[in-house]
Amino acid sequence: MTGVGRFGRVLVANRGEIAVRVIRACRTAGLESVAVYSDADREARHVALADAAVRLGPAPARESYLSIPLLLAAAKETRCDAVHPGYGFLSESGDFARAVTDAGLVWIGPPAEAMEAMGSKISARERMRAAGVPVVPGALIGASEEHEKISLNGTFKEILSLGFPVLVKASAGGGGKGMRIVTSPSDLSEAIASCRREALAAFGNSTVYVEKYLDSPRHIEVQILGDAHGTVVALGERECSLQRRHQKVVEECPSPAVTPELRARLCKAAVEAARAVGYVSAGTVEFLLEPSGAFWFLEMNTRLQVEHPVTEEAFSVDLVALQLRIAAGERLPELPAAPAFHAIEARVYAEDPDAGFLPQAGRLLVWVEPSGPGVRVDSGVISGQAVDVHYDPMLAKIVAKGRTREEARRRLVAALRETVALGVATNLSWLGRLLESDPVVRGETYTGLLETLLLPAPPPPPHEVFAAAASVLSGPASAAPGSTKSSWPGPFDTRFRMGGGA
Amino acid sequence: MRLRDLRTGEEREAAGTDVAPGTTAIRAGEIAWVSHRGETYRLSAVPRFSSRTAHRPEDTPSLEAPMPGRILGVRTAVGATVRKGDTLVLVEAMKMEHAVRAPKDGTVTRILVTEGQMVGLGDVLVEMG
Repeated sequence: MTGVGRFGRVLVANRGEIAVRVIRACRTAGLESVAVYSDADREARHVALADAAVRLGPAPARESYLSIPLLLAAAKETRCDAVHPGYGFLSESGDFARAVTDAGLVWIGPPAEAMEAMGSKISARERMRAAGVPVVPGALIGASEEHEKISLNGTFKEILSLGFPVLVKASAGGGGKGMRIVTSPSDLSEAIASCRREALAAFGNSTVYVEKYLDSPRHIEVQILGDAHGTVVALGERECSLQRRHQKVVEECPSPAVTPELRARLCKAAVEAARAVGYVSAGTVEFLLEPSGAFWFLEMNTRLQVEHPVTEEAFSVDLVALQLRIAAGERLPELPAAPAFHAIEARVYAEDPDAGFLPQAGRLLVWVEPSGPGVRVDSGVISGQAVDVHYDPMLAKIVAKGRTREEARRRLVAALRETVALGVATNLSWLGRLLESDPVVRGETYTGLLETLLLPAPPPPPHEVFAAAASVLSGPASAAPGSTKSSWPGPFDTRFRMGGGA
Repeated sequence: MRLRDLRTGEEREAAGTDVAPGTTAIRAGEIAWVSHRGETYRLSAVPRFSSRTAHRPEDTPSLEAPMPGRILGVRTAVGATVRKGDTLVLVEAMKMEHAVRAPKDGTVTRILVTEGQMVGLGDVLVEMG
């Protein structure tokens, strides 16, 4: 075991594609990795890939991936000496970071104090305002102690004085979970109550806050990296304006809206934000960019982002490898000053665009990933794997890079069409049509675009599709040439046929 | 056999003899999943002699779970008069909340779920008269 100095075996305290991503980075760095899993994930890809795996508990996240005692016990049992939290779950929990450090393990992430300073969006904005970073206008409702009092019986007057619409958000965590736009005062109490429940279910923290809603801004975020020796650098921006219900679906690096001059100003503000809280490791400072070029601090995500691959592809860096080196106490190496490529990512979700994008669960019977020049797939699934209702419905991220934005976009469209997902409805076709739509082709996006954008309908099934369906729905599977009876377990009667002599 | 495309409702006769190049198909229960030229389709067989009644949401007497998940709350009661669009039940799945709303004006005749209960896709939650 060579390792990276201070540790040699890493507990990967997550699941899905990000657990796979971290396990790969560990292996590349010469580190061993230990996966954890709930009962719903026994057959999951990350479990098979790691050097060892430990069962945590039943499927609900609170009894498995969100349990600090279970995670620490798993680390102890497998003699891990470091923990990588991934994103989501406990990745932004100061309590978890502190418990890991107190147990004598290396925490591969920012200091607990920096996470806590940024973890409450209220206190984060106060810190940013004090550090001279522009903050969303009218966002604060009273001081951080007072906002706890804004309850169903609380100080609506303060909220109403912001004017409508307003945004109601979970104070802990990001990802748009629990977020709601409220357009009239009569909807406010229901929105707050609903947001509290979602925040509690997703993050174990029911604190919410309300802010002024900006019209037609872009969501631009800056990747930063800090080492334990006081160096903080920015690695350009990501454009994440394509969001559905405040959940990002397509991200790119660089942003078509950011000039070198604006990039320099954004990066400077992001570095100041990170320095203000003594930030170490990888993090992201999110801004809203108005059409005028004015930008406002939104929040800081004190972890690796879902969309980190577009920065990696555009800058030719490995952010997880850098997190490992930073955690081992190394100094940041020389990093590229500007992106050499353009990269775009599409998030493949188990959701049905024809049924209001409702999350889907079931068994992913066939999963074929794309490949080719400039194509990267970060996926957490394999054919035959169950997609469980307990977790986030994201299956994979498909990323394409090119010398130009248009080359990256065309590669991504081709890669999406090459991807096959059967057994669970996904947004694959919708993503392809989105990437071919005029505003996306031109790079003219803003955070509200997907609420109004009309995409063409998918084509109706041609004759071959009816014939193929008849083939698998009629007769015994073994009777026809070219058919295979699947060996996947579960309640499904599965018969699998491929055309073209497969 | 007669097949129906589940998205468009289009029906066509087809013989199950061949799967064309560029096409992948798999059966899951009564559904055929087909990938063809970058698009995904779901089809089912149309029973030969049954009188097929079109699914018309405005006439549906029962409200079904839109996805598997947990009942967060029931926002109505048996005998309650509800307006189209009123929230009847809240369902949580995959960390998101979804409101099941009344598809029409009417009266709630039956409630089949309670808060905290897990439900499957298509389970009947509420019946309306």
